[in-house]
Amino acid sequence: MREITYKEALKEALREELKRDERVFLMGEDIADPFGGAYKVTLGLSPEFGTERIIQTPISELGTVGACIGAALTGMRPVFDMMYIDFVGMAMDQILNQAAKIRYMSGGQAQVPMVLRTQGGMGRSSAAHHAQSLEAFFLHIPGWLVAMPSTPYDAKGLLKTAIRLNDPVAFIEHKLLYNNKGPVPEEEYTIPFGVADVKREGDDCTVVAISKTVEFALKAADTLAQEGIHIEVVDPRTLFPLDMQTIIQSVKKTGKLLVAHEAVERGGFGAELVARVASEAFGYVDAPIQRLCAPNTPPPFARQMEDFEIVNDVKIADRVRKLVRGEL
Amino acid sequence: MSKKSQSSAPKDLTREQLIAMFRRMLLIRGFEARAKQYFEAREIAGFLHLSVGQEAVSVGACSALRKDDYITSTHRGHGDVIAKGCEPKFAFAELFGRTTGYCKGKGGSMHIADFSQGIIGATGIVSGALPTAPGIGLSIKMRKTDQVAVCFFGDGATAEGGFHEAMNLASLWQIPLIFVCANNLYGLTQPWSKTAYQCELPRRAATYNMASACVDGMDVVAVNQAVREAVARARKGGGPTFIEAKTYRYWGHYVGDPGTYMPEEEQKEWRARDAIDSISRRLQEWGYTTPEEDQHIRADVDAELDAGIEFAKQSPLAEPESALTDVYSEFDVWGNPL
Amino acid sequence: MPFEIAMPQLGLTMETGKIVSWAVKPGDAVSPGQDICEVETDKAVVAVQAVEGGKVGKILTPVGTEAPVGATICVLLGENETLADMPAAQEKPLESVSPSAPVEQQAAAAPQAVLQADHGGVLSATWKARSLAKQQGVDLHQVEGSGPGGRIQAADVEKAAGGALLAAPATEIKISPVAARLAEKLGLPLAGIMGSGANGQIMQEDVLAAASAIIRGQKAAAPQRSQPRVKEIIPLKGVRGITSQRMAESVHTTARVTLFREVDASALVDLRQRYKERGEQVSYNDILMRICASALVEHPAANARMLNGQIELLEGASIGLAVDTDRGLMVPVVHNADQLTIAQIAAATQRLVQAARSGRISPDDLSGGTFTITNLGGLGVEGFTPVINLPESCILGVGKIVRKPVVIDEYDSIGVRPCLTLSLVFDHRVLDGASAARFLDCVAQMAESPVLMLTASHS
Repeated sequence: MREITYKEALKEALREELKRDERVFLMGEDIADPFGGAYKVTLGLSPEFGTERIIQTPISELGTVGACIGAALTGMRPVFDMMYIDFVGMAMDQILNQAAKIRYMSGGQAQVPMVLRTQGGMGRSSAAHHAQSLEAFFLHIPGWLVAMPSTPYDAKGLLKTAIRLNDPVAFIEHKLLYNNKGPVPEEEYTIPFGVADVKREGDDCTVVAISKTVEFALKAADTLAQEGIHIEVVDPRTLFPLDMQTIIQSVKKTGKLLVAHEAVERGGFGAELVARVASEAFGYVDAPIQRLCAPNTPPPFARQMEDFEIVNDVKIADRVRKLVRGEL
Repeated sequence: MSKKSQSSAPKDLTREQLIAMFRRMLLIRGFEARAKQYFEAREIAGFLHLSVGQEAVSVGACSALRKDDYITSTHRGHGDVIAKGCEPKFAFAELFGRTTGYCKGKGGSMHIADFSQGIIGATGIVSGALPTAPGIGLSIKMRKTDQVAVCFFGDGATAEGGFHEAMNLASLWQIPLIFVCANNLYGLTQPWSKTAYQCELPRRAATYNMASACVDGMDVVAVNQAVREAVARARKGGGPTFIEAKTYRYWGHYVGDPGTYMPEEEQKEWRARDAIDSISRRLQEWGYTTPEEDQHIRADVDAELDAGIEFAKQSPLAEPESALTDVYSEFDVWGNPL
Repeated sequence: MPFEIAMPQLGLTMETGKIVSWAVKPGDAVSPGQDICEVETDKAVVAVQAVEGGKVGKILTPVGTEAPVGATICVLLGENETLADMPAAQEKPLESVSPSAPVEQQAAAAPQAVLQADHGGVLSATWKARSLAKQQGVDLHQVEGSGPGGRIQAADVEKAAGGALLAAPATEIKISPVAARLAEKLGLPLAGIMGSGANGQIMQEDVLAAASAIIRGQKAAAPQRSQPRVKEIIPLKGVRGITSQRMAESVHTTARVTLFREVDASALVDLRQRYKERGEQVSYNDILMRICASALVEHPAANARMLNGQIELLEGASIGLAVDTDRGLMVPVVHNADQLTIAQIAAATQRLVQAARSGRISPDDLSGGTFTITNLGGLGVEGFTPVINLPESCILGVGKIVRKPVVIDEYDSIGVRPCLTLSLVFDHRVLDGASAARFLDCVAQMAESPVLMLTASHS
């Protein structure tokens, strides 16, 4: 199977959906050529589809996210490009009170088929305002769906689904994943929301990871396998809807769970997952459930501080070892 | 009927249209009065923000629109939505939390919507719909129809960032959107003079290179004419317009607000120019109605409103569990596909 | 800074050394590598060299005195230093013995109190343990917890309910959880650490003492002794660690005696061939397992174990087969082999070997054995003395089938026959030589004439 990068996979998804449905359009800052987006995901699309479908906007997140909502309410299918998830605050009222709630408040009359594509994450020393992981914000707003692909295959399949769904989707990418290569079929495919992917099988410990952290978990899995410890790496792919069944099956098998994510620990997705496992897989848990997340600080600037905070394969392997040996 | 009066009748509006506007204004005022009554009797829950005094703005504007044109509204939206075509009985049902309400009891006073009539909804956040409205205009342009959209808001919203972003984008995109600002001189309890420094609202439009107008918001005909002009511009592809309609809200910000920050003198002055009294009087002056017909219209409105209340009271209460539905189109509240 | 020369660790089990002679006296200059004294251990007299140079400041252990390993025996001073420059006694941070294990600062300040499993009537147990206990009707108060702080884990409940841990040792080395963690971090093997706690339990101080002794011993001895360089470190964890422990335990506690018996394997070869012709995969181990099962029924003394200070004769011959896997040595068990046919045993062993090799074997499959067979014939071994699989009392070593010239009749004719050496190691505490010999004889006879199995009694 051919291998393409995460960003190429995203671009393919966008191109295919733009072609498939003329109601689809993109909106964002710097997304048209020659710039093609901060991470070059949309490069080449405006020459093909025109600047009336690849709409480049002023720096006006509140207004432009709002505009996407308005357009979605009246027959269009916008895909908004928020350059950095850290800017979500600028558009928060539209995200929180409008997009998420119009369907509900109108008693089901409306639907908001929009996708808010954005990216986050540490690793480039981009510091406090350009390196956050804020998926928990969207997770906590009823009305939003949340997807976080970790591979090119998942990215393409999930983005196509996101665009075709009739509900608002927060599609959260990771800045360090854009150049990762991975197998992606030539034939068209989609990935449904609410289906987790067991990226590695194992009996000794379940590791649930999202976005970039999945890659670290798989690397830890290799290291640990040489020591005779076999972890199962489960990638939920969508945080809501969440595939609890797969996760519970895994915990049932291993009895041990570590949730790893790059977002700050307090109130993160890990907290939600641990609570659900504690409640729904209670009888299968044989050791204290673990979270491995960034410490509760803003993202620091200096590279060594970032490394200190990023949840990497060494930290994951270390924690798994302790968990499997019964030291925790 | 003197010849003098006849000649002041607006030439571009028919008798039927003008009477319809009058009736609709009565409907709004009567609706608000009853809503206040039932709220104070604790039969309506939550908050009520009533628009009594501002009927001419809502009706004048909406009368310039087609059924397939869009409006967005505010927390003080009863007038706007009824002016656009909402029936009082279903609006009452919504306030009473019944299944027959426009939003099945899920929205309430501040969020009434009827998408079949292009009413994209009232919103509880001041300026909440402003960023959304240019998107509607954009959608119209993309779909290449000749629809237009009207975005209602008050003077209070013009201090919010969303107002400015919307104005900028509307102008940049040259979309068929009409900003109708009902300047009732108060944002919450703050008078307009304390919100903006020596500013006349249409000047704001100028900074966005947008066509603008300033009208007497107590004159339904004036409002209507200004909006019709803007609609025509929009339908032709001439881009957005900003209209300031100077008006006044008689009752406080919300039901329960004594409005002590509104000076008595000021209140008297505005009530003397009441929009309904004004159109009622003028209709008779123009010879379009007789005093008897006038009374008849009022009685008819009362009857409709009373029937509406009855209808709402008779309607079944929305089931408590229905709170869990319609969060998503494709999934239930637990994330299972529908 | 004055340098303290410590009594070196001159052997794994050395605890103290006696000074035989001093080659230097206070005030003498000493250069690195110079002999400074002779120490007598229980094995030899060894010369000790100075690792660093300096001036002898003080000799703490005169000739004839004993000092524990790690204790200071002599102080060397640098230029312009006096004994007054000796630092006050302080906790130096430990260096790690194993290069891959960094020691956290907490190690030195670890709490002495160890939580008990029962916190004033409230048990510390995992959710799964509680679930299982409920299901199995196990009283948690009767269960010993093996988790941190004595927490009861699922495996502990399973053990109490009659299942067994995955290759858990029958008798454990007593060590406090804090000490165990520290020993793990330092990469120290537990065997050889003397426990100073109750019932010989190894405490944190014991681990620290052992570690510091090794460090100082290494420091003192390293430059002059020809030590081999460490090429790779295999930590004593997982299956390796448990195997190490159990093997040592077995050899140190059982009264091991070995009986060798060479049998004519013609009948075995023939029988296996017949199965093969019928398309059934049956190994020698499967056949021998069935034979041993019958023999164990005939000779119950060999189907016994020593447990809790008494000998228990067991019902049913459940025979374990030693299997070599990527993770190490595992011994899956065919339960009640005496009630199975050879074909059934073959099916069972195939399943078990596959499961063990793929790492998917269950605790049930690895426990409940009464006898063990281990076969090194495939690797060319003829006879050997395997380690008894505690708490069992016997283990049968099976060697290679070798074609040899043998005397085949009363006329001393020579013929070539396939010969197989059976090595039975038994625990003399549980059964005597004669009993063991009778059992082995029974096995040998059945091996030479498998039809004898038909005449054996059944349990």
